[in-house]
Amino acid sequence: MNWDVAGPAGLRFFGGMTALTTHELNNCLGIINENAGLLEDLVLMAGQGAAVDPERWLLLSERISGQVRRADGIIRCLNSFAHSVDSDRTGADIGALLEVTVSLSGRLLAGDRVRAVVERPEERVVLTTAPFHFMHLFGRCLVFAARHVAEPEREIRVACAAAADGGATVTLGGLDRVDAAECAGEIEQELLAALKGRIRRGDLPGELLLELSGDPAP
Amino acid sequence: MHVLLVDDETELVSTVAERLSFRGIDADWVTSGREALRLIGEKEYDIAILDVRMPGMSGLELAREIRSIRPGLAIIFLTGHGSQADFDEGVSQAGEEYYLTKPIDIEVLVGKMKEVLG
Repeated sequence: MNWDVAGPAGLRFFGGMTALTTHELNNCLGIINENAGLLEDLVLMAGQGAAVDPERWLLLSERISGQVRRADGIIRCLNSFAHSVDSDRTGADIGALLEVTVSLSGRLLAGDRVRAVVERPEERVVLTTAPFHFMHLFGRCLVFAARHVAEPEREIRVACAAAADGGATVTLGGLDRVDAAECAGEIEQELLAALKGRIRRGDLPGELLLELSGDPAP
Repeated sequence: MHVLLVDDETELVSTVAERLSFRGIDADWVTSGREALRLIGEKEYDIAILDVRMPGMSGLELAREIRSIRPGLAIIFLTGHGSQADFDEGVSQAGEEYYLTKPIDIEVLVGKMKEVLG
């Protein structure tokens, strides 16, 4: 892999995903802050003799708990993403990597009014690969897919399956136009070389395939 | 004082609106730039409070649209820890004093609104 090409792009990807995630976490904190503030307001009003429905306290408490759960999920994804750089060769659950990447990219896609959903396979697809390079490549494919998503659904359907040669195939469906050569630019080519993969048009209309022939996990 | 709040986080924007109402401020809220433009076309507002980062039309894009149809409407931007480019454009549009970082302090927001309206 040509590090001069893939290295800076990888850093930009890492920074971009981290920035998106901090924005999401900040929203959670903002909502918790406002609900806590509303609790204070209601306490003050109750202290001044206003009748406050006990259901309000319960609702606000549930809202705060809900945001804590949301933030916990975001932090779990960010933690998985941060650890993706730990090894350039490890047995990785491809479905899990897809879910983390889609989750972290959610706000970026929402900016273009696009949604991505991951259909997890019944059996885990585990491949010896470089998790960060895989997520970077898949993230770039997602951005490409978002530019070519079919109307009116505007939904990218992501799936993965084990390939006969011990590799894995990731499918991005729901596109209106698939030009694999356009998707596989200079950076993508470097990542594909590192991952021993290729990008091609799927057999079904509107499908882009990311095929990886990495060694199966031991 | 009649205020329009725009933020894609429903729970946040509705709660801020309720807290403003406790302080005697009449606040409508919406979760997209498109809905905001519709309401601004129908009602008179004194201030629009806009989240900078929203899916579809961003707060900065929305502010440009608002200025073309309601040049006199005061705008306060709310943001998370956005990019320097976002900050620079927000400041150039509204001035640094009308650019608040989330999580917000409701009393600071109310103070800014009063300051904006003189």
